[in-house]
Amino acid sequence: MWRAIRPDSNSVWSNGQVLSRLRRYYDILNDRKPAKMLVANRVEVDSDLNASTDKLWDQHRKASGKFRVLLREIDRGNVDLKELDTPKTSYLDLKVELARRILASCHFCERRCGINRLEGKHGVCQLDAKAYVSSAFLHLGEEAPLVPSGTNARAFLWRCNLLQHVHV
Amino acid sequence: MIDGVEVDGEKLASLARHLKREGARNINYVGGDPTPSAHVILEAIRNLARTETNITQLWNSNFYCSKELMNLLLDVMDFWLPDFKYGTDECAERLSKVKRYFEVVSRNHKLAHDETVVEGNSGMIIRHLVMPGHLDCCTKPILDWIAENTPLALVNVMSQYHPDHLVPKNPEYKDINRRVTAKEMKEAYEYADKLGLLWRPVS
Repeated sequence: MWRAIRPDSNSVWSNGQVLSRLRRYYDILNDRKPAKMLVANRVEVDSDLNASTDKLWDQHRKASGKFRVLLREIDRGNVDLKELDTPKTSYLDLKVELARRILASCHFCERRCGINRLEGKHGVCQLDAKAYVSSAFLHLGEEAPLVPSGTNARAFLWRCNLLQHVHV
Repeated sequence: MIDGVEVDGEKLASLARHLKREGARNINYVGGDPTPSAHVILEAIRNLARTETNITQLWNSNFYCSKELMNLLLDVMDFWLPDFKYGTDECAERLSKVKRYFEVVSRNHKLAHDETVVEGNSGMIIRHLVMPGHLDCCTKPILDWIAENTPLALVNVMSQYHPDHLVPKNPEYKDINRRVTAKEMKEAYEYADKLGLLWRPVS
């Protein structure tokens, strides 16, 4: 269906420059490489997620180093992702915990309002900890290599951290 | 006032799996802006990973996020689709009421590019919306910056700007109360060509 509306979504791959710069993305599309999150899920971290925030960031730095080595090995075909166990506590668990802590004195955006959104208070973005999705659909209007784009999180009224006078 | 259904990470992940089955090439986290909902998105990503769902994670954002959030995203986002809108803090402060725009947004572009795009593990398309009368202060300095600092990014030079929302009502925004002219777009495209940017296949 989308191929008729956006034939460029396929023809764009015949452009060698585009293909070479988006090579890994193209390989994920064709299931020849794993999305990075699947690799991150195999990286083990210290199981104590109650440690101090400084300690967790320290863990995060180390896990990132391990992740990048593992990703390279997988991409070179030296390691098979499917043969790796999933650890009890993964790099992704650590990220979820650090995100929760950021939310408690919110500094996701560079306004750094510091509000405890976990307690139900609203940040400058006018949001507490809840998230909303108003539609999940295949978007055909994005750039050719991205079509169709699964915009499952397009919540038009998710508040924004940048006042937009400009609507595209 | 809030439209839509409340979602947790699990629900968001199941929507993503549904879209993959429908043929989606990527999961496009957009808003508003995804930044304030990053905690739920990271939970969704963990859920997708645990169910071995192999689909590109794409961050479609104004990139006005903290360095801490960038650090959480670098090793899980397969694709960056940021906006680079303003070439000066003055334009950003007047039109988007935001401080230190250039420093913050350029820092995040540079981080994504150097830590992931250069390593070949993420793709990147930078979106620049050309604004009427903002070629010398915004479009050209941004394209210069991209050529110099994030040369492996593709660039979408966008012409879709039209005055809306507060712009027609407020004389403060008089300068952008019109569409971009064909002449201005031509100038922007020629400038991008002169710098050797890869923009045509994605604009």
